[in-house]
Amino acid sequence: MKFTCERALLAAAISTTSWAVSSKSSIQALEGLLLEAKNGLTITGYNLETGIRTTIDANIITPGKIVISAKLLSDIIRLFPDDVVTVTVTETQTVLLTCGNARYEIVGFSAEEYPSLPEFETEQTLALPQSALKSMINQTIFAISTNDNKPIHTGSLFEVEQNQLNVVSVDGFRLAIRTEHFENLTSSEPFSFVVPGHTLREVEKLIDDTDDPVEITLGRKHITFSIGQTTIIARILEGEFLNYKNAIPKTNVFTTSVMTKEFITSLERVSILINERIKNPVRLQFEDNKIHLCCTTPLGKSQDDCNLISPCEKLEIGFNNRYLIDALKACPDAEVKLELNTHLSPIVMKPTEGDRYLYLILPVRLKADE
Amino acid sequence: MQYAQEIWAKTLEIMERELGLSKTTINTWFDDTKALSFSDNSLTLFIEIPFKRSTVEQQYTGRIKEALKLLFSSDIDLVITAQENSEVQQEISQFSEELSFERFIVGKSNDLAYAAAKAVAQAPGASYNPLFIYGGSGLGKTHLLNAIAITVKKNNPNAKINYVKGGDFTSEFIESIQANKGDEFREKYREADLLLIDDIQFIAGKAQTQEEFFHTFNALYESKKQIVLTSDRLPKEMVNLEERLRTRFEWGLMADIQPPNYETRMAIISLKCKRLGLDLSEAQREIIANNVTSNVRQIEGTIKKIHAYSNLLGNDISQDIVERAIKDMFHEHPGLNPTPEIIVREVAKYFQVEEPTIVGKNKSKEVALPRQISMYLIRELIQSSFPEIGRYFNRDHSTVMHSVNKIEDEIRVNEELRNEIKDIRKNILEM
Repeated sequence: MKFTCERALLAAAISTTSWAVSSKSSIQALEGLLLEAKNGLTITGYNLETGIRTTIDANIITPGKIVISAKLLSDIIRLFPDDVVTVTVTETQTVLLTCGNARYEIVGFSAEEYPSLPEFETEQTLALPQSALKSMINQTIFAISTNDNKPIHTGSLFEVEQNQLNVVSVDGFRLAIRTEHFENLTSSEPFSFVVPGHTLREVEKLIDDTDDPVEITLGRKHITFSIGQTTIIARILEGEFLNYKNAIPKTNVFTTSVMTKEFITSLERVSILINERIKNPVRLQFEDNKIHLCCTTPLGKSQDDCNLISPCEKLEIGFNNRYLIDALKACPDAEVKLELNTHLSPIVMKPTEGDRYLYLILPVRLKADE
Repeated sequence: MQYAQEIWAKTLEIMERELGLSKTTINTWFDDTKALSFSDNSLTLFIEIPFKRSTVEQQYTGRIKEALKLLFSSDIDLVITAQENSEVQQEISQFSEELSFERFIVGKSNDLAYAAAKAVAQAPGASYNPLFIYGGSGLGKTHLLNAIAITVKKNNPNAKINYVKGGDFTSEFIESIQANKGDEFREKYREADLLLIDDIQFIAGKAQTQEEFFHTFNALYESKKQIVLTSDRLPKEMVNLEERLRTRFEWGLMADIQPPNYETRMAIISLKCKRLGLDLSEAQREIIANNVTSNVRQIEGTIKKIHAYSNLLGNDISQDIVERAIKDMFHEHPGLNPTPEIIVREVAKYFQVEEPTIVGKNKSKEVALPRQISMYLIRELIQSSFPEIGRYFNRDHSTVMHSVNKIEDEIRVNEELRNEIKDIRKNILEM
């Protein structure tokens, strides 16, 4: 096997695929990257859960396949001069890498030892613009659960209907929903699936803010995302996702709205005294046309006021400051609508128009007296 | 807090004056009770000592609420908490407020299960432990579990409630072994205050899962934590269920839920109509009640269909729409209102005999029993008269009567036959 390739291209491909390589694996070959030289160079990283494969332009002199340690390959290519890299593999699996005056001779592994990526029967496909998917993942990923108690909530729920896609994340204390309308997303009956959080993180890294499509292929237990020349394959999560629609209050006592940035700033100011360990809540007092924020922690007391754009009713409610700030930072609008009920009901954040997003946060039951 | 304390003082007064509690009783149980807050029609009391708290929770909640009702002339919620100044992050509940006790239609077919579930919800771990609710699908077992969960949570917001379906318990357990997270699994299930398992029959036949469940059960039972199980069959009808689990399921109370009778069906239909804002005439409701008889889910489905059709067609609801919805329901699930043909077919399949033979003249033993079972099931599931059944089998109605009675008697004593018929019935209904 022999090929040449631009260093930068090779480095990028290695970096992309290395995310799916585990540093310690029971199958030694999986600690490496699979390189296949055929029509271009295809590199694969796989950890038995997630696989990433990408194809780049290369000059193939002799086709072939080889597995090379991911860490070594990554370091070598990274430090090579910016020139053309030549890779040659001998019959004894010795790998020669040269670029400029630098030259390495390392041991590779037979590609036969590399497990193949799962094959599956396609049940559904859909395609959407990269930019849409990127924003949908970005604006819901913060609410994915990190608790293994309910594994299905460690991923985001994708609900696909003919003209609409919902991406939903929930972690028991907060809920994030992003909705986008498309034309003819699918011709089949509505369906849904749950994608693991770490897979979404990889997908998000690979997509750009363009209108080029991401192609999603869904099998019974697997899913692939194809972005340009790169494909990510992962197992979907199984189980019963929370019936999130039930958790959203159907009515509310009052609605008001606030400038997103102003609210974030007030929250951040008041939160300075909050200790990560003890997690004192922020007390929000809604009255007249403002929210009075205050916080009492072992370090002291803090308070600030934030103006509301429309009048509100009187309400005192407590929250974990982090949950409020995460949701507000995910809001793309300058102004956000707030819906409130009682001091023990969730706060719902929505756009002033439309249904692009919905953030729901459960409050903290405050101390009786203060 | 001040205001809450005043309210509490008045409440104690009323309990003494109007409800007949003696001063001694009040002092014994309530002398160190603190009223923390009163808001949104809810009074929060703090009782530090666990045994005082559980006694008050189990014995006096009713009377406290009565006194509050006398004081305010309306229902007031009561929360008894173990933490004085708890700043608890509220959680998104996996339980729906819709599936509450208030929204459960009670009838003769389910009043025992309902009463038992309510008792368990008010005082978990105090009586009926475990509570074993069994019955066919679509009759309300999951609804009762949900109702228990939301009631317990309301009375004790800090309660750890675990709800899981039998099949999921098995898969979670297997995954925890594979991922080497056995300790976390054990902690999650053995430290619950309330364990609700839906469709427990799915752990039968899985040796390791049963072993794990055995230990989970013991841990909870010994700490007086409430366990509620639902199933589609009795413990002794579960094949491959370990004997020690079978006896444990039978330790507490076993309550069954039968398909709803006519009155209950009418009540359910009326409630669902009100919920959807659907205006059906008495006659139309009767048609549904008379034709959709096997389970609540069917009734719900039929009404939703009627609602959908009327929306789609923009019409007032005609007889036509009602009949079409019913027909559709059965078209999608023919097994829910079987015909004699369907019953004979399933019996034939089960005993591996030919359908025509069952209806035919052959009197040999191999065919006689399936024939009698078919007659019994037609009588049971379709309620055809004996002459009608006789006509179908080309036999005299007295023969049919004799066969049906014979099977009824045999079922009482022959467990194997009982289970066989249960299986065949399941096959029919799930067609």
